[in-house]
Amino acid sequence: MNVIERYYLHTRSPFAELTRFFFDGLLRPEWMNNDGSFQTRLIQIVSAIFCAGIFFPRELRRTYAFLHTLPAPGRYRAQASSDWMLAMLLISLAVAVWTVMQWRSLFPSGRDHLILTPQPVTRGQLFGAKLAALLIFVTLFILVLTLTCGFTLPAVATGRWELRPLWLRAAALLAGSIGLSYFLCLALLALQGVLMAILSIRWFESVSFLVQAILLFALLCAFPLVSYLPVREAVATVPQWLDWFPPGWFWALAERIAGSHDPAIVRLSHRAEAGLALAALIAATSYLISYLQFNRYALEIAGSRSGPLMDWSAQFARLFPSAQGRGVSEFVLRTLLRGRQQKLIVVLIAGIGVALVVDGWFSATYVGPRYRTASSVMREAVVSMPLTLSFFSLLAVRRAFRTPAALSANWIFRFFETRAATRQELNSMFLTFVLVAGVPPIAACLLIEWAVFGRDAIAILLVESLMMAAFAEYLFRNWCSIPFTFLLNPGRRHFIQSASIHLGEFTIYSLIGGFIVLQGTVDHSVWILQAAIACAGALWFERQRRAAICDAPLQFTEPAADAIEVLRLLD
Amino acid sequence: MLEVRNLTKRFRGIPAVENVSFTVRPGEILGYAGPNGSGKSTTIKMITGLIEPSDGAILFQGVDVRRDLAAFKRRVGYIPEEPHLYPHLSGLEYLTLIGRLRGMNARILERKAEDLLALFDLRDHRFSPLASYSKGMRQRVLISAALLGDPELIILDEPFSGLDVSAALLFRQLLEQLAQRGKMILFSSHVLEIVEKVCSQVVILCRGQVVAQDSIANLRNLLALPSLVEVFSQLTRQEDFTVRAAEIISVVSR
Repeated sequence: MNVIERYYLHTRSPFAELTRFFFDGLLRPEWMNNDGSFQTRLIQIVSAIFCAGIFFPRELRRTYAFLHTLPAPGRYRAQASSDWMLAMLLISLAVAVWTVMQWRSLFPSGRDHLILTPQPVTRGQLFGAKLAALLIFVTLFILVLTLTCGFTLPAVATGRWELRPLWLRAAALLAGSIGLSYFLCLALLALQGVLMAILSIRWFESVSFLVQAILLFALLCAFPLVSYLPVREAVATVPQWLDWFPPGWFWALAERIAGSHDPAIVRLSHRAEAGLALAALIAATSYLISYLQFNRYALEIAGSRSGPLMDWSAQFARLFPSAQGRGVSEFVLRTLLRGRQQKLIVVLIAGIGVALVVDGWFSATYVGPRYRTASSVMREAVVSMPLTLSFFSLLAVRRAFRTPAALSANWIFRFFETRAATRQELNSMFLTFVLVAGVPPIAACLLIEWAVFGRDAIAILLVESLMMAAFAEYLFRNWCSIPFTFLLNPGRRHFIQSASIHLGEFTIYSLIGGFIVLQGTVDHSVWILQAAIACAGALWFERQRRAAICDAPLQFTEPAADAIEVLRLLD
Repeated sequence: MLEVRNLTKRFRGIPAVENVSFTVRPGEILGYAGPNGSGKSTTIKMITGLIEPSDGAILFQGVDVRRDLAAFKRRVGYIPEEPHLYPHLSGLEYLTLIGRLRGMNARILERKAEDLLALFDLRDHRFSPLASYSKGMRQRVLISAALLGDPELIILDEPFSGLDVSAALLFRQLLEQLAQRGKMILFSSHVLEIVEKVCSQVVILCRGQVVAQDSIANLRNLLALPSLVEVFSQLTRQEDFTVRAAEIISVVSR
């Protein structure tokens, strides 16, 4: 154990102890595996961003070298200024995504109240520790993201047209990035706090999740859209819309720190200061209200008093002929609809798919026509849309259903486990996955495909449906467990390795598959060949899946206590 | 001595607990019984600081606990009715957290936590996440956590829930020995047979009010009834369950 670790683990006071406990909790949130993999993944992701912060500006060096050779400084200044705003936008979006993912950990929860309040800690210590842990974590996260970019970007831009010293530009960019990141983080904290203050616990859970899902979706879609923002025009002309665009305020703050006296920039920078102060004030007030209302957790319960108007899960389950199939299908759907962790994972992964589709549309609308005909770019975007959406939704559902939730429900399925019942259960579960995650994205694209391809849309969707079926069979070929009722196996693959494999799958399924479908509009025999290959693939993977069902009983993985213990002892 | 004086809790004006008073003396196990919704858990939540009373006082060794709630809670061990635990922590990590919050010396805490887990047959699972524990195992972790700081007052809300026979017998012995060592024990339970065997005194609560408070033997003699179950039925005016049981059977056999 090194000195830092010893210092970190040393007990000082209940406040320090709680701060460390909450800080650890931020490193292993419950929506991820509880085997410490989130910590590893967070480090991997942050390291990747850290490296990007070093290498991306290197790519810009050539551009800046060229700009410094020009006879006037105008283009250089516009480029440098817009790069600042883009860097600040991307960093703050990353911080905002992280904050939204930690949505439930932003305030002490009902469980914190029930577990920690009977302990000898005051409510002030509890709230103070939570806030301290959050601020330390956010600060470290922001610093890691901003430090490299904050120094390397001004460094590579240095040249004959840059008259301001490097340290001043680095300090300005850092101040702008950190300010914007804190602003977004505090604004999100304030939003959650206001929801807590105005809603009863009964409503808070569902409304808060809805807001979290919408925010996550919006932020993921915002990532690709950043590159379509008219940033260069905005930094040159400082238009009116920047008054309502917080990243613009903080860009102006950075410019002002770097020496700009333009009245429009000074005005915007004042908005940044006021915005940051206001967000901090609302966040602090909502924390105080939450502090005063903390007892509610012991009195109020979440949930609805009345039943749903329409039981969609039961209606959906009618599609399955056997009682076991209906039971499993209903169970899967209900848990997906009510399991917060599962819904969050679906939103996160499916949101990436939607973000790619949005990117494709923007690319087709704004960029594509410069190089090719507008219609060819549009046709590509439309063809790949159902494939991209079904790829990510199937992947999302698979990932969500690998997250353990109700281990105590194990006995239900064990109790009734027979070979015949198991086969029906697993088959109906697979069909549920396909009907919930595979079919809707393709069906949703019918109208738009019809609008672009006319009658050909039917054939295209048919081919794409077969491809989706083959992909679903491939994705679930080794699946032998009822969702949620097993403990998660330790990750078999490294995060980067998994991401690379999925990238390969995405390339084959969506990009190459979409390209071949498009070729079929010229020569219809391509579709016949493609459909035949998809059918063959689907049948082959289906055989594998059914063989796996026959060979093995349901997987109810027991806790890997012994293995974990051995590893710890070896440590 | 723990003294609860005229404790009242109203939710939107409706009293859940009204003028409840009782005393737990050193070496005494006080049973706290009542039907569902009678206000047992609300009383216990008020004593442990989870909710604030609307009225009344809680005195510990003659001092109002609200003067220094943290100092009071340092002297209390609490086993809640629901096993609220952080599922991502292991049993050992949970005990370590609780011990540290109580300001225990690191070396003593480490040894105590290991020994308690071993004595409650949890040694093999001490590094496993609590999410993988059975209900009985979680209950044993909660008992270990409650006893970790050697508290003067132990508050138990349905502590036998989920325990197997041997663990329940061990726990019963443990309670008796703790009482002999002068600990104050407040024992809340629906299981009247256990209350009858474990407790020396009993408080019976009905609709938020105390309807009886005496030693179990005195209550039996006073009402001329053979067991606490019948005393309880008489005092809380339970409905005739034979009719309802017959209704259930008729539904089952449809």
